[in-house]
Amino acid sequence: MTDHASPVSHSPSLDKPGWVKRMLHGVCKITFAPFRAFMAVRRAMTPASVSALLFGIVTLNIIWGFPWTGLFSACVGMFTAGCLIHFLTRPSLDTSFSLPNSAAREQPFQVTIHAKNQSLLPALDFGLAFAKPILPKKRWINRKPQSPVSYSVKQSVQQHLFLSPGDSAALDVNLTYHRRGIHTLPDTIVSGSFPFHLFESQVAIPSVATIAITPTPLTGDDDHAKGLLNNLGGWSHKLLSGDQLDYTGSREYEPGMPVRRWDFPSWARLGVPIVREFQSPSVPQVFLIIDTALSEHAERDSNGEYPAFEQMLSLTTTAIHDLAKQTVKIQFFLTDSGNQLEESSGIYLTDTDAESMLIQLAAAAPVDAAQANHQISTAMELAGRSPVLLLTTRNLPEIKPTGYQNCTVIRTDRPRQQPRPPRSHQPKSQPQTV
Amino acid sequence: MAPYATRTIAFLLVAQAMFVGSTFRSALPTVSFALAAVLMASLHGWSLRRRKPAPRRVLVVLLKWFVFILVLGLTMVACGFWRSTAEIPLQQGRVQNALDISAHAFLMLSLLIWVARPLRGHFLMLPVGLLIITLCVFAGGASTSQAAQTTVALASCAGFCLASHFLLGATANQQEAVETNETLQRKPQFALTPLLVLLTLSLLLMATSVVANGTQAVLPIIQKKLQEQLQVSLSMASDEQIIGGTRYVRGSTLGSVRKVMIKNPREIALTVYSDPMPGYLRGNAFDTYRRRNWMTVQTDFILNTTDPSLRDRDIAPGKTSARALKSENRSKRLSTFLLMEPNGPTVELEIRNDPMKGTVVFLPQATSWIEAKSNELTVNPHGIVRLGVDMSEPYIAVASTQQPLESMSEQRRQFLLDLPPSTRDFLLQFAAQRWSALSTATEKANAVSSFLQSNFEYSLDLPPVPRGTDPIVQFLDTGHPAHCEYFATSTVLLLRSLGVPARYITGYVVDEFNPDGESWVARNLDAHAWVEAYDADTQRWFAVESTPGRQYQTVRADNQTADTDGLFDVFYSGGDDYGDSWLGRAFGWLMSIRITDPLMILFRVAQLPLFCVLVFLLWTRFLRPTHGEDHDLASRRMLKQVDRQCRKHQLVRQPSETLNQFADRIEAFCDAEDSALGTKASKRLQALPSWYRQFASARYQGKRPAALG
Repeated sequence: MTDHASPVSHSPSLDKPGWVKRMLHGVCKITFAPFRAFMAVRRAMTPASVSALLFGIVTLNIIWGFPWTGLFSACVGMFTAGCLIHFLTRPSLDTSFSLPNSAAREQPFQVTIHAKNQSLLPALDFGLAFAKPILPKKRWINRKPQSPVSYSVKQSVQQHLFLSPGDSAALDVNLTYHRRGIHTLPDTIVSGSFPFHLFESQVAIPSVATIAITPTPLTGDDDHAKGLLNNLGGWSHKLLSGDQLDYTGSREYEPGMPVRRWDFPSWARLGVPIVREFQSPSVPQVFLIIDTALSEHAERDSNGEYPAFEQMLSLTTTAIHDLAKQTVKIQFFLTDSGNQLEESSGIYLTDTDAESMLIQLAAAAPVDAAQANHQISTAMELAGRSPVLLLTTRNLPEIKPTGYQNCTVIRTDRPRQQPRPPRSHQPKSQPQTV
Repeated sequence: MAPYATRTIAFLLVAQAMFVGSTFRSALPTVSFALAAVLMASLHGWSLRRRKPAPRRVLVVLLKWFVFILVLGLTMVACGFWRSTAEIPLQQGRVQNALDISAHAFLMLSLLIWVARPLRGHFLMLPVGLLIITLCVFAGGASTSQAAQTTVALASCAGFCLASHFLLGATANQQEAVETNETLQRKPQFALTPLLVLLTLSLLLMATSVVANGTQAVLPIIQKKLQEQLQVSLSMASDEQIIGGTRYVRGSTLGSVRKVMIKNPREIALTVYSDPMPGYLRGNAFDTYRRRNWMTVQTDFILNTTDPSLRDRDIAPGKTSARALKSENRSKRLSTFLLMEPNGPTVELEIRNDPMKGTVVFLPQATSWIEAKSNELTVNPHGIVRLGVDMSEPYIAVASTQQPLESMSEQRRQFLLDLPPSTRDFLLQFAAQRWSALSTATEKANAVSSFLQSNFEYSLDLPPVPRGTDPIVQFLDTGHPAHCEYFATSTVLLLRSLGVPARYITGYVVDEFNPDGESWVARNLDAHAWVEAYDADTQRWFAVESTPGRQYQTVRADNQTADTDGLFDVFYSGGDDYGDSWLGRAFGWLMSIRITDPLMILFRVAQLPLFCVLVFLLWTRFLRPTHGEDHDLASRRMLKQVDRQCRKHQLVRQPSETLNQFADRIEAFCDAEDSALGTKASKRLQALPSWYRQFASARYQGKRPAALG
């Protein structure tokens, strides 16, 4: 994914004050310039400049006759000249990134930062790195739950000594995102410490590059997940191996013939290889419908996410991976909240690669139930007699097997805890399959 | 940290040890210790480099810290014991001892940190290094002269910058960063770094040099202003209320000498050790009288004059040597300051002030040089030492028997003939009526002195002065009894009315011998004011005493030995006695060249050429088209230049366009626009496609492309 600039619209009403606004802005800038300069110098100070400043103040006693004229000159000279040189030669870099289109949640991926020197002067003694995530503050008294960091970064800060004007420097960084979604890359921090590390100032270059963080494929960590994976496995097996309803007959195998299912009993009986033939094509087309509406009882976890929803997306990811591996043609349909006022038809992808679908999953967000129902019905109509896999986290009373015989619904949320009857065994939760 | 960085830090530490050693005369042990520490650090660093990275264990880290603190504590204690026992016999004083122990202790701290962390050091070494230099300079490790201070500034700046560069730049992953750099970027980086470091260092040194020069130019003015303010404040405070007569006489206001005399009159103000009687010792000299107040306008207020005779002069010490003091029966290290060339036999006076009474230095009139504990003296045009003498120790004044010759500029003469406008007419008339016929300064001075001594009476009790009347006018008009200040002031004003430059002097008359201490003492009641007049014919100042019952007497060299002349020779021969032979004198001259001088030349004189050479090198190697081995840089520069030529004809090479494609486009452009282009431009443009093709071919083959044209 490459950088893209978001269009900025200027409304004419904002430009009205014109010169007044500019003048006020200029006056404010001039007024606060000394304070800003002071703060910039203060932030840029290193142990070396702090030492020089302290000893400059101490040796100011020369006015009372102390013999520190030389040391005073050295401290003042180093501090002032060092400060001037530092801020005049601060690197001015333009960044671009090489990164994949998408990456799975909790999976590290590599990003290469390309920093091009825009200035007319060479960039000297500078470091390049991604901004570190801001860690939640430790609270000792009032410990409130705080949202964890959204990403972690693994990088070795490189100190570049020289970069000619127009040249580029590169840095490879490993990033890991801990939340699904479309994320903007962290800011690039360019820290210049020229000359002699007397001052060190950091400039954050905001990134506009984004990356889709897709859900992680579901793993059978618990019984519920195992059940979901079993259901999905059963469905795909049934799909790939063909259904009895599609059976049209058996015939003798001839070399070069595509084999979908051997008819072993007939083979044994007749002594020649027999294959079964079906009405459905050998590379089947599947409609994958993702219902992003939530049930009324859906609850958020401490991270602000809906666990059932995320699990459904993870299951979808697994399904996409499995089906793509089996060269099944997927017609992907995701209920969308993009345009709620008009009747949205949802995100409908066909003949696309798996990555596009995963990117859509990365951007998926809960939608209104009525809107989702409407979109699902539309998708069902489109599907016709093709096999449909509908993944949802809620009860779908409107979708009945009578209407859509090829539709398989997998409900991924955990069954709600019923009041436990005394001394009775709690049955294992099973996904609802229609 | 790279090996050259560790070597630089080690070198800086040894240099620091040498500075400490030379300041406190402990060079051999200090430098030996520093070398040993550097060697240990090298061994430690070598072992650390070879060691495989292992997980850090808390217990091991704690144990290391414990050992470090233990060793540090033991070293500090040993260092304190060593320095305190080594320096007490030299009688350096408590402050000097404290400086000595502190400087050595901080040096040990730096060395121990380096031994403990030989691969990256610690940023604490930076402030500690500055502190060590501060202590050494305070202890007298560098002279207070401009040259020495500038050298200290430049050396400190260079050392600090290098140390900062290596200590703060020594990040743990720097090595890794260097290894992962692209090949294209690595070469210019490593070639450029030393040049850039030198260039920047040179810039910083220039800035430091400018600040040093500026400071040394402006500082005296600031100091003078501050001291003037302080003096005015102190004078006002002492005039208003004298606490038990504890201050020295200043005499800026009429009546202030009297106050000193009548407050605790028996209190000893000065003790002087000398064979002859010291006599009149000058403390302050004033040149301008206004409304009961005497001021030193010449030096206090005329700061921007070009006349050197109106300005204070700073005197650097000629030499520092141990002198046996009579007052303390021990020797002290005192610095010698030459005030004027000796004229005739000299007399030595050891003067002990009471430090609680102020910082006024009391000297005989014809003092040639003084030996005192000081780094630098400031002397005003009247020969009064304004600043610089440490009053906690006695000082030695060596006076000539005869007053030396002194020329007087017209500007200065005008100052010393100044009369207050309100009394000018009265004084001129008063003097003209009596002494208009006299011609020489001596005659006039004798006449005025005799007139006052014979016609007026001495008394410490004065009649009240009517409001709006100047007390001197009233004194001369009514002839009422008065004390020395009135007589001296009247004498100065009358002499000036007669055209004789004169100044008002206050000080003490030291004529009481104290047989117990075998010294001369001056008590508060010996505070006195008298006059010095200038004889333009002989070009000498002479004292005038017009107070009744007083006779001016100064120290005489009747029984002095001739060894003071020898001392003067030593003073002039460069600071130490190296003998009278030419070899000895040559050796003395060689030794008198300070170590700071070559450094000074290197930093200040060679600064600009060095800077120019560096800029030239940078230009020739990296900015100008090169003919060296770096094909890549040269090719890029060549391509940029030719692209620029094409851009003039709106031909911009697209990023996706190959050089051959671009050459085709140029050819097409030439064909289409041939008529519109001039002959010259067309010819130039037609040469470009073939150049682009050649360039592409050469780059493909890894050869150096030929330049255009």
